[in-house]
Amino acid sequence: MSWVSHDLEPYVIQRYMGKKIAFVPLLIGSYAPDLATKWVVYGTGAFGLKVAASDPARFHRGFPGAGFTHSPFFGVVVAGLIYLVTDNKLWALSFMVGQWAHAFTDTLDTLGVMLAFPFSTHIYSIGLWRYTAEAGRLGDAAAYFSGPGFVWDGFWLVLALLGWRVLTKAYFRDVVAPTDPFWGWAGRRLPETALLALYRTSYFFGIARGITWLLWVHVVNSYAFDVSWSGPHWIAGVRNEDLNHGPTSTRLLLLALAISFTCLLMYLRIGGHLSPRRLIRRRLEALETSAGGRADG
Amino acid sequence: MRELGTYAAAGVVYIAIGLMVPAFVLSWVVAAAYLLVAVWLVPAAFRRLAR
Repeated sequence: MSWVSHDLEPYVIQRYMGKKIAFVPLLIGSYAPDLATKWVVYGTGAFGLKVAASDPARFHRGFPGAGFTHSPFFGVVVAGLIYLVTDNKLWALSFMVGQWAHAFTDTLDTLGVMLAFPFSTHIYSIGLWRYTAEAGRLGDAAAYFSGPGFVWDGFWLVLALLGWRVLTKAYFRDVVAPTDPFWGWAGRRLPETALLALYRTSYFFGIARGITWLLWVHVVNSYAFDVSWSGPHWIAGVRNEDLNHGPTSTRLLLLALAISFTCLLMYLRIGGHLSPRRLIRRRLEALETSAGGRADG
Repeated sequence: MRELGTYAAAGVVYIAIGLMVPAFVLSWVVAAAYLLVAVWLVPAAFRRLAR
């Protein structure tokens, strides 16, 4: 899992997609997989009642459990439901893009996600940083901000800082607010300063808590940095092979690649960067140019 | 620029509270409520008092 990327990715996607995305469902999509699972993974209690998964890793990412919430298929299903209920295609697609960003980001830890669910319950992982949710919130934070995970967050931090214009009042007025009916509804109840604070919350939350955890882990406490692959190695963590029934076969790999490629094509299509009309027009222009060149010659 | 300063000051206080009480920085809802108070309600209250 990732601590800061899920907060910042929506702003980077917003910068790239502009008016082709609605920010609120994009953000909800980015948080959705963990909203449904994290509190059970870490365990929570109220009024003497304790709720915790007996096998947190399997519950979070595997099957049986709630691991399907981290599959791209879940994004498609919920997007379909959103479209049925709201009749708003932009809301549905924006949720789907946000959920996919979360799902693909989580393939990077040692546990990974069920990318090919429901076709397969195999868990795919790239294994860049250690999955350590079983260590509890503080232990998980200590491991994450000591290993390659925080480097990954640093990458998204740089992208988010480069896209700082999405935070400006002008961008909010011109691009974000007109695209999403939520802001019109909220604007009848709150002043613009409050709307801007809500719009900027995840950016603020991601950066401020990232700094807080880095200081807490390495200044208040003294956990050792280990940014080597699959690090940090001073904590056990969970790997996808602990839950899978076998290795990733060629068939399973091709299945995951096909799903990932389909998601990428759909994402580019939604962003208007893969418009069939535009591709045909470009092809025709190229043919006309080459024909004109031959005629001149 | 003044707006950026308000957010930066809110960030510094948020980080300081988080270092003392790590549970404070775990929740998005708490962050949203904190930010609304820090960059909207408190400055609005100050402006009203200054009038």
